[in-house]
Amino acid sequence: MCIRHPKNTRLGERLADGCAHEAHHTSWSRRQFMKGLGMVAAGASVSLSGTPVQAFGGSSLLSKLARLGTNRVLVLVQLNGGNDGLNTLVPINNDIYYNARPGIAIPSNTTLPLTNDLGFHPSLASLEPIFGDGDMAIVQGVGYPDPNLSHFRSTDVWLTGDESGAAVGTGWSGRHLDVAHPEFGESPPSTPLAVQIGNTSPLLLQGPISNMGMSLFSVDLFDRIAETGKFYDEENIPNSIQGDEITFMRKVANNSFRYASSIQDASESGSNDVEYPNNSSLATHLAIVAQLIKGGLGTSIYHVSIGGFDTHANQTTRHANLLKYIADAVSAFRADITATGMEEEVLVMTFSEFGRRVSQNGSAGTDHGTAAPMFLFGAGVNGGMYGAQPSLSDLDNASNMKFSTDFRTVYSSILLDWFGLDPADVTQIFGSDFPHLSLITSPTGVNVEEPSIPSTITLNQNYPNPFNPVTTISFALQKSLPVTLDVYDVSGRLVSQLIDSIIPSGQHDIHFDARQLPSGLYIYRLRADGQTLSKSMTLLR
Amino acid sequence: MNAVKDIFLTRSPAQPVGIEAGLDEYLEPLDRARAAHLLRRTSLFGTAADVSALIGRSAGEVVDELILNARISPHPDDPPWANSLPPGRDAPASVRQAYDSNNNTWVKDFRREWVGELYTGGLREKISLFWHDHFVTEIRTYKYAVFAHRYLKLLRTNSLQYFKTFVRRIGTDPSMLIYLNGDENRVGKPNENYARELLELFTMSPQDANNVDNYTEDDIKEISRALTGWVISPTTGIAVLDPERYDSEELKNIFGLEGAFDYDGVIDLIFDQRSPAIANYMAQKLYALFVYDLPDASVVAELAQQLLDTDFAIFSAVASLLKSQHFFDPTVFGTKTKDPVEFTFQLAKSTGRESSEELIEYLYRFIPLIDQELFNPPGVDGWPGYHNWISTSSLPMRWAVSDVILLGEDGHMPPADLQPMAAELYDANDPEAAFYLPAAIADHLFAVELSSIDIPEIPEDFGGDLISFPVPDAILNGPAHIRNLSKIFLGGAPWYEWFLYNQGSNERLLAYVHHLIQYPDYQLM
Repeated sequence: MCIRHPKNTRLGERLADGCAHEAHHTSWSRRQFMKGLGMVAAGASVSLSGTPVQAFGGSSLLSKLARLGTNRVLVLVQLNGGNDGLNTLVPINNDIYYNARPGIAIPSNTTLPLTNDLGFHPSLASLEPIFGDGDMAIVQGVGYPDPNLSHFRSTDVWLTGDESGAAVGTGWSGRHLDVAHPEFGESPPSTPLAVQIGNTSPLLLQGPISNMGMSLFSVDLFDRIAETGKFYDEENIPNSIQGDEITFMRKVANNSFRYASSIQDASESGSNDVEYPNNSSLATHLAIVAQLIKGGLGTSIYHVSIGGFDTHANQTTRHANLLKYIADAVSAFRADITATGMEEEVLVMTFSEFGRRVSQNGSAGTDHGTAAPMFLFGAGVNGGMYGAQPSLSDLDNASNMKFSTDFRTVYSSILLDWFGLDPADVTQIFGSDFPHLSLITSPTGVNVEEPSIPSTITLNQNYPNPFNPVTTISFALQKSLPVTLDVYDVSGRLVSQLIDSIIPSGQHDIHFDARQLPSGLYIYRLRADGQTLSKSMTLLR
Repeated sequence: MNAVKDIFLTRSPAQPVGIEAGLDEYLEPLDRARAAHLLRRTSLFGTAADVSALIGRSAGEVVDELILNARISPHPDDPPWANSLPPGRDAPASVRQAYDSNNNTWVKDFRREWVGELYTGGLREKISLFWHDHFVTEIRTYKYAVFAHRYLKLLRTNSLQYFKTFVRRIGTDPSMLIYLNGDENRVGKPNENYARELLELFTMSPQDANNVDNYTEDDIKEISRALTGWVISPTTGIAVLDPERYDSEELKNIFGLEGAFDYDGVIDLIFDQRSPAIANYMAQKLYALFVYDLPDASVVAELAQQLLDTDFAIFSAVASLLKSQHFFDPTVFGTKTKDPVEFTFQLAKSTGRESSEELIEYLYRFIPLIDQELFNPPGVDGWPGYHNWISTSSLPMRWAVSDVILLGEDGHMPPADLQPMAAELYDANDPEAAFYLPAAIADHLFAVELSSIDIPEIPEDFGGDLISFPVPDAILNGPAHIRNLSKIFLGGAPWYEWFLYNQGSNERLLAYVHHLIQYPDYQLM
């Protein structure tokens, strides 16, 4: 009998002690696992320097990156709230700018000139040498069509690369179609594919928990994860909404264990070579990112964020501080990465959900606007200016600037050139092609260990689209396969299953009759051969 | 912000509940599972005895009682500093510093006090927390405990009354005026912040049920003009309209209608012109609060109609939903992710911990560690909620926190006393209690089906002399989870030696409950 006997010992102290076992550990060694647990026990697996670290597997983009085996890293810096682009990259010779912002414009003689017409906000001084070295690209006037001025919708647009923003309703119901990735179900990698540093709410209080133990179950459970890398069953779960929720909980629990030791190993073997400024959480978070990169975590995407950019009132001092936090943190991060000679492998990109109104509002602040610049940093960056500064006089009907570069142009250029993703994959991710910018000096992904799995299925855009009420969805198979073709509405509800059977190879046209459905955006999803493809279509009645 | 995780996390497509049962009243007497479900979803749960007390009663009667209590029970006394307003900007620096220093203490005290109220306050406190998450303000912006107190008082007072009145009052609440810059919105210098969130987050959301836009950017600009002029009186701390700052010059054009709309005019207009959209949005939110995060279209439509028919009476909509066959359908049991307050409070309550200074102090410290700091939601759309509560970072922290709530800490808080819970759940004198009590305890703690929890198969036999004391056939050949839970509970000890009032029995119960609450399924309710 191998169940821990509590008696009078401190619970959790004597993890599986005294119990003989003879399991063979193929994918996970017991030592590795014990170590992982030790970290969980200390609350440290998930908390480096008191900062929560979240690890992610899955998602179609990430799984593609994993297959590429690239050693390149992308660090996303999100500026929450809508950064005021005009006061970041100042149009120093533009009278419209100075007239529209009498109280808050940045005087041209205080800016740091980059070109004849543009200057950095003075707080960005530490970025000036990076730009001078050709390691910084600035893409001006980035936005998207029919801009949404809601923080939440617009953030969703930026994060999903879907301009409709329709994938997410309100926060609590927000979720969208994501697809199951069987390739991760069976042999999940021990390294998280993406890592997010920091959390929505600050850890103001450190509870007395650092010395708390966490006990672990019976030896049977223990051996099960040691042997399979899996702790809780993710497969044999009732097919119900309760089952869906249980599945989610178990996946997160399993991932917590799975990634614990790789993060711990990386944080132990990596260290910071420069002093980071202590004025912002962004600096702290970027220091952790550097530590994990240098420690060889092998994660492709890091995501950090800094809030406070929703400057509706008295913005001058606050915005200056925020910009200084970014500049100082990024500059320290760059020095740190360069000190280890990894500068060719790391790309940093900033983005924000929108810019701000050309004219100041009544409270010495700015209301929600549109287009704004994006910054990219790294030795692999083709430094310089891209895109065009939007006109300050030719505004849209909400008095906002018209964007000049679609944000997906930047995204897709990075996926192609930085990560070396296949153009067809990039097209699939964004639903269509976008112009290319040569932001990266040495394109193509390096160190491609495994070719991406050739696609045996293709899914075409439905025709006609928009439609009323009938349309044709066509797809092609290279061989005979079991196929499902489902239609979902934007809240993820299955509205129709068109196919669930074995389909012969070749091209197939399926008619979809939406007579019973309301107007709106629908998503159709084809699953076959371990792959999932989806596209959206619009019913207009 | 919600989508941050969506781009990373793999998950299968979500489905709404999808059952036939609608808002018709559930008429059967409550059984244990339904009684527990009602307490979990409305009152941050309770002890085993609390659940037992509801068994056999009618849902209608119990829900009416819950709501009536929430509406009439007296509010906590005002704190002694409730009217100590911040000194003006022209006050001497020393005065302002002294005030700020007191204020820091008051903020912490008041937050701790709310934790205490939440622990014992039942539905009113739970639904007030929901409104905090709906009509968001952040004390990191408005700063003062006196305003936090007025804000929470307003939430409590209106939490189960009429939504339109609630909307009217929240916009002139001092914390809200500061938080969304309403007090800076004045004639000729409009600030759109409040107008936008009033429509987008507080009443109707950008689009109605048919994906038609509820308003335009111009509507927001015009509403901003109508809402100009409100400031906080420095002498009373109450919002007053300053005619000098109010935009009375030109008519406003809102939703295509022209008029001299002022603050009240805007509220009336919103409800006159957009009632169906408001009803739909609020029905969805109430549904998500009590039933499931993904709305069921037909129940939401029924609930929305009821809001329209009752002049947006929150109490009436909540009552119908909580009494409904839909709510009591087992399909919805165990489908909601516990938020940090629910997770920690339910554990403490269901294991019989009574409110104490130590317990409240722990809860007060723990909930921010798992991402929910009262008075400080992360943004104007509140806590992202649902799956966003659970991550590879927060889940291990939840385990760590739950250890202390259950087991206490030497010198600070004793372990929970689980014997009363056990005695309530199973006959302590039954010699076979060791076989059945473990499943009864698990059933009390888990909202999901016990048979679907991934309880390991324990291959070893029960311990002890099984020749003289054979294991009953009903256990040997009965459901695997009951057998395995019993083995885990006994940990190899002979079943016939277990007795609830033996020395060391609480330790065994603690070890067993400690094992149970680490199953990921325990995060659901």
